[in-house]
Amino acid sequence: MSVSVEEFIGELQRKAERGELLYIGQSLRRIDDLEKVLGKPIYTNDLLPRETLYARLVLSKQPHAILKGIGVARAISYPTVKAVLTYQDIPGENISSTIIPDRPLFAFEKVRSTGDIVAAVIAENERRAAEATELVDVQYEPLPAVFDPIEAMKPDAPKVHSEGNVIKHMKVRKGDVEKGFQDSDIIVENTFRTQFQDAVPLEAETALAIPRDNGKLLIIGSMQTPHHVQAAVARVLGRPLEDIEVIQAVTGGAFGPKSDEPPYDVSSIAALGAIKTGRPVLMSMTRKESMIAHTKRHPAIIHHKTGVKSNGRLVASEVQIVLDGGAYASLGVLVIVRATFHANGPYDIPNVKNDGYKVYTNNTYTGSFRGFGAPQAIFAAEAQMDEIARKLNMDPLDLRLMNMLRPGSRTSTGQLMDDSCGLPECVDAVVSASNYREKRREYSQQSGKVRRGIGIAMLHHGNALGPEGNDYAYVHLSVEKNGRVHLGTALTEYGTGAVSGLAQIAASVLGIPLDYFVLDRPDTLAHHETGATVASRVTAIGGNAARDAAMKLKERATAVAARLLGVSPSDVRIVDGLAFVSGNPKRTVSWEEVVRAAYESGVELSVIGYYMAPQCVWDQETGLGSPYNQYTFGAAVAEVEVDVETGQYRVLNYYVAFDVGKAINPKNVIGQLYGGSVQGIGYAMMEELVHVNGKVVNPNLKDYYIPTSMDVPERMVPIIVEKPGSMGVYGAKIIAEPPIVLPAPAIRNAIMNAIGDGVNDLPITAEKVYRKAKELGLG
Amino acid sequence: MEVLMPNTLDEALRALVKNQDAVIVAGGTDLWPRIRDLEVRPERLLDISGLSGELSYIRKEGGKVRIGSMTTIAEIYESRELDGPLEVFKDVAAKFGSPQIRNAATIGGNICASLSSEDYITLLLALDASVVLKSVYGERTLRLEDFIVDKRTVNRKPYEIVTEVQFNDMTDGWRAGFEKIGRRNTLIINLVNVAVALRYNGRVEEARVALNRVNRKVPGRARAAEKALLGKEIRGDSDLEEAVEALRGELSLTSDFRASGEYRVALAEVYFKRIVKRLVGVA
Repeated sequence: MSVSVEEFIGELQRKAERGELLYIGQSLRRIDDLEKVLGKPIYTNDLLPRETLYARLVLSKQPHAILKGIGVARAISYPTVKAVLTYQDIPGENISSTIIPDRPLFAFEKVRSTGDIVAAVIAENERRAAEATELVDVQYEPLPAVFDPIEAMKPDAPKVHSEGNVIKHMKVRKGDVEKGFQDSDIIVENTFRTQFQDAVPLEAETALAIPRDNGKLLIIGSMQTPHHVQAAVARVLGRPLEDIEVIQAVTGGAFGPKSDEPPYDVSSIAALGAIKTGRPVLMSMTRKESMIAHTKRHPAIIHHKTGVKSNGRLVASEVQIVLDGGAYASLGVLVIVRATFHANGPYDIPNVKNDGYKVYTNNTYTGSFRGFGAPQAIFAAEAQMDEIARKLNMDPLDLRLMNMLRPGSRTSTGQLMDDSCGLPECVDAVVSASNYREKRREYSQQSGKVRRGIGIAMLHHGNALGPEGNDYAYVHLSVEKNGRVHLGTALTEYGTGAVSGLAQIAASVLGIPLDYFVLDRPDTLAHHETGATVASRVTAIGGNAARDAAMKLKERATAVAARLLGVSPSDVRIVDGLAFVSGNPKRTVSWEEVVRAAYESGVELSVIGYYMAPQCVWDQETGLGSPYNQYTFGAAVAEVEVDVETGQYRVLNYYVAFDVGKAINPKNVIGQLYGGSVQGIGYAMMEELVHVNGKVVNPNLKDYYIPTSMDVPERMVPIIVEKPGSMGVYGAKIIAEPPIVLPAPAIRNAIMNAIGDGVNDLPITAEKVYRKAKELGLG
Repeated sequence: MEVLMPNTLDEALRALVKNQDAVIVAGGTDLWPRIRDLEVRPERLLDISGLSGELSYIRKEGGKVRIGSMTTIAEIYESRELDGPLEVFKDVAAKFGSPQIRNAATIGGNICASLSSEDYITLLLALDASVVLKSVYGERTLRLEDFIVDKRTVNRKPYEIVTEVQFNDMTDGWRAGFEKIGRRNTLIINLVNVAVALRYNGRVEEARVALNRVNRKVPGRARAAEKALLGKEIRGDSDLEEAVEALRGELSLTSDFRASGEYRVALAEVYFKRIVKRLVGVA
């Protein structure tokens, strides 16, 4: 069916008359997609000026040792080497930390992990720099080390820093768990363990520092939050912020570590090198350097004790979470907060006692990573639910239906769920799409060497920063004389399409096509500090700022259009780049004409939009209150086939539904559901950065396994549920992180359904399944 | 670092006589990462990619199958010559690295790397293959089993180039199977690989079994298991018990972070049985 242009415009105009937002909920193409597919983006390492020098790291060879000396003479005299940097070369403070200033940029007095940077070699040539790192003579006097976080909590354990090893103790106290246990018919206790996971962004950490003629420095790099990098570099250099300009280059994946301390390291080292040599310096981590020296997902040891009535009602939940923090605090002090708040899963439980600990060890440090403590917490909580169901001889779905959060129920912190709780809809969606009930019945009577199983898992996920900081955002819109709209913000794009989504929101408010928009590179000189690009918050929070900016701009544009059309502003509608008179669609003036008239009549078409989320109120001691303004909900069903002779298994089908409030761009939401699920499948099945006595034994992509296209389920079914939230733009909830959480518990529970028992430590390798099957006499 | 780039085999052999320290590069998929990681620091490389026209072929002649050493894994995967029981070559190729690696890596390079992770060594051992080495002084043919000495050590003189692998065509009732088991489905180093070649006419008349680590750190023949198979009529697992028992004694599969030795042995046993049963048509 073909529609004439006139009919098409007419339809858009009728929608505009009804006040509809044309592009909200539309899967518009993101602004940067074509250039990405064509391989056009200019990444940091594509930008090297002539004369650029290369830096390589000298990492500690000891997990815990006194630093007796660093001999640099041989390295300095190596061909093409221009400088060897150590703590002695830092003019400002030797700190490269986010929250707690516990991590030096260059090791000083002692090393606390094999990820500690002792020195950096700067040379004309990358290979020479690498070779010269081996000539830096570092003298260590080994100290007793601790690698197990439970051991590290003991009073007589070796101290990683001068104080005790517990960095942060986070609590939730609701009701009376002891009484709850007394009132329970059964008590179920289990311990769960998770592993180090590496984020493996396609592009490792990288930064280029270019000295300017005026003595200032330009830093271009791969990062999530340029203003934080600017402040970190200024601290190391002992210079004012305005001496350092930071531009976020096109960033090849981030996933959290690039909001944590690693970008501080590469940027500061490049900056120090540029100042010392007077030349541009590139500090671009190799994959190996990155996998050893950047932050990973915390391994966790999680103990659950749950009191339950014989009918399945959860009465009391006591959870202890111990996170292996590695040698430094990083953003991990906030990770434990989220983990502890989500420790009981998405259930209404009257009595709760959670204790979360982030603990120093001499392993490499851990920090921010997609999910931010939720993957560990929900894996344990959802595995525990299937253990409880087994004890009660109940279907795990029925146990969940009885206890899960719904409108009117309360979370572990006593927060009341309103109508925006879409968990029941998510569960319904995956249960019916997967045919869960019938398959569960079918799989209950199998005997062969190959057995199938089906499992379910669900979650709630507190939105945006909540207790992690002030949730605000700035978005600039400025219109050029030709009508093009520049969208500028220090919220960064690193793969999700979220910043393109901000333009989509602004386009929708303004009534002009997305083609008019240009996304400006985030630059500390040009854009306000706007908080971190973390916690999946660009669309929900940044979207409100984009909407605010667009509404301000629209008011001005409408006034100009009204003057041109000779009507009052309230009679002007703008749609598809055309302003027209309400009720008289033939009387129009184009966006370009409006913009030209604005320029000629002194109307400024440059605005700043701002939004700040309501403060979250909760009690520091008990955790009670509303730590988050709104929640995302999700449910997943995994179906597996297990070879009981070898333990090998594959995920046949994976169904996942998320309540995203309002899908501003459904295709982008689906992209997150696929991508997060696949990364979660890696976490469930194979990913593990292995430490042996503090040394990483597999810091490469040959031995650190991430799923390939051959490892993903044959069928993945993503489903969008929309129950608008109170905070996010147009009711949107955050979605970039939560999909990574569900595969591990869903797959674990599906395997339990197939063979009769579950694996409680991640990753669930074939060997672990083989051992279980053998224990059960199946092999 | 000096790189010599001959265009013909003759040129290469002459260059090699003069530069016996040169490290030979075929596809480079094994060598480049080791150079990058400073594991090896060769002064001189002999890049023989210019010989791919001469040394890239798959031919059947006089009852023999000859594969030129510069034949890439991708060429093997797509070859029409490797049909019937020789399709087993494609089973190896299908789980060999990634498309990019298959386009670069060569069968000669795979053999010369001499590691338990090189899957074609296992298969070629089960086919009782030989290796042809050429030099300015002439040519010699060596059984692959004698060519593979130890981890990263082969029986090659510094002035020789491996030009071909050859084995008897699999006519006369021969059949062969291969399995590779890793921690994911592709782009993976094996935990175990198993290759079995059998001549079966109601009973096992001849058997050759090879795995990634037999009695040492490189692939080898499991001769005790082969012996135990001889003469057997195979109707099910119970007919394989003796061979499995023998196999267990020959494996030197050890533990590392990828898997325990015990699990690797269990995998080897299961897949050995599965391949044999598949080859003789028993469920």
